[in-house]
Amino acid sequence: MKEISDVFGSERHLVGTVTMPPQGGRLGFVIVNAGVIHRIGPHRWHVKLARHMAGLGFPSIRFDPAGLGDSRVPRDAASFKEQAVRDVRDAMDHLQQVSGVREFIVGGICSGAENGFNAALTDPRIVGLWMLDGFAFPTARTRWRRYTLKLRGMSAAQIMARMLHKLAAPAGRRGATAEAPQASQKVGASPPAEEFAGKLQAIVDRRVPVYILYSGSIVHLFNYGEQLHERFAGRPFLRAIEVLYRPDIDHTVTTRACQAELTRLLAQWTMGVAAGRMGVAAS
Amino acid sequence: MATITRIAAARPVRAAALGSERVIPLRFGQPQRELFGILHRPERGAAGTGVLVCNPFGQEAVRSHRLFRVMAERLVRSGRSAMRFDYFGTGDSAGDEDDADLDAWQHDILQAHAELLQRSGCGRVVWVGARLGGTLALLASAHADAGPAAVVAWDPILDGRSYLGTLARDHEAALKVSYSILPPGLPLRPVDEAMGFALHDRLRTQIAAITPALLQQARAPALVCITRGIEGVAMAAPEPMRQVTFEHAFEWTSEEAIYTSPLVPADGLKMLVEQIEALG
Repeated sequence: MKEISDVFGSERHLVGTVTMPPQGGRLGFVIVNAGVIHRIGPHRWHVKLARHMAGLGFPSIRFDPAGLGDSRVPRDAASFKEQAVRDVRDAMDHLQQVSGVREFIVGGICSGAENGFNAALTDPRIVGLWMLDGFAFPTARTRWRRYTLKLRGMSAAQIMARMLHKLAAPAGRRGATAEAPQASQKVGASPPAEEFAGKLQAIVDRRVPVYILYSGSIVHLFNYGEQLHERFAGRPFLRAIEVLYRPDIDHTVTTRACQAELTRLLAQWTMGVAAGRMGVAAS
Repeated sequence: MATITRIAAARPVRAAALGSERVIPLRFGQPQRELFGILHRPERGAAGTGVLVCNPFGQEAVRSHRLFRVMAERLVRSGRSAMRFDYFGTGDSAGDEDDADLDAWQHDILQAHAELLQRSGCGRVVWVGARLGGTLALLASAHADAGPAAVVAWDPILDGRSYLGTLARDHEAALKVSYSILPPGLPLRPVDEAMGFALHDRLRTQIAAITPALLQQARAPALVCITRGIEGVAMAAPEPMRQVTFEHAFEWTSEEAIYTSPLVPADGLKMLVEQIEALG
């Protein structure tokens, strides 16, 4: 395994590290930054993920999008969303140049998921997409479960105290809970459901495998495994995606156990995607 | 502690690496102990003074990444070079978290010091460290053949046992913030990790051994210790040390940009730059 750190991009404004497997290279693995955390990822998880993928034969790149981490904003910068897509493309170009791979799996956490999703819409080199806590669309059941989950394990007295506390809150703040502010800072707003559905359909129509994971950090937005299927019942894309709800993993993979488990899940899925691409190549 | 005598000679500079770029990612050090660094250079001319940033530990290093990037950019604008780097087993450097070793990390500081001297052409180097990075900078200064012109330590860890307690509390707090509902059976205060970073036996022992008395080991023409209070420092500070008190609300271990703690604390940045610039 070898790690190569360099600048790249149209103005050499992006900083990233390529992790090369000991031998050869199959698909490239592009890890898109989560929020404002620089390219090592939350709690250095991106480094561990990249090295694990290298051990499986996948070269990878983890990099800072323009303006974040160590990367600069280019002179001809586009809007934040468009620039993020440009940066993902630049990262793929760089990984292609260094490793020779021509097809890529792209993904990330939170805004990294969103940026990977937007890149997958426009770049045919992307043949796999994974997202952790990317887009979420609550249902009536989500809202019901949110409260029942919170109340589970509480005594009648604790529940009564919680209700009284809420009633005592100023009218404008009623409905706000202790967990809502922190969670809302973790996940940005999702696009309108129809827009999301149309875009996801366009991605799966290109036969791109999509792995959508949800953590236990956004209970107000996603809190049961069938939620996405219920929300988009009957949509064709549901037959082509994998959805996994893991409330034991948190949004920023804080513990080493979470990091190892998410790495295992993604490695397993990536091996499946790679096997599928070999089938495509053979046919 | 293992004696640290002489650092390895830096590898020759690759011409391609030192073009007109102002921000240059580097990989340096011994092949079996490759370190990652980011060099910030002025557009023109060799800098008279270079500044080497010594990272804190674990989540505190992730948390302060942006602060030190912005600080480095400010220093470059005033004609200095600056280098940030990751200790072995941390950040972008090679090695795993199980390689964490405070003695070896002091050696990494010396290695980065040599790299900065060679790459930037600066004549003197000021070391700046926060939290455990400040402590490591103070300790490493005792082992440098031609050491730093000055060491600036911001909120250095001077009581290792207390710091381990802080890490345990912050780990628990981080889990409570991150999970909507804590998974049943999740250990809230494990002894062997802090916010996703390993705290193995050796590292815990090394941290626990940190006391204010270690300040006596620091050796540099100028030493600046910036703390929230002066009690512990006043008892143990060596002669050339200047003590600065600086109250702030920056949360060293918090998740990035969560809640009220800004990503880059303007007052802390200003204070740090002023302290460095006052050293010439």
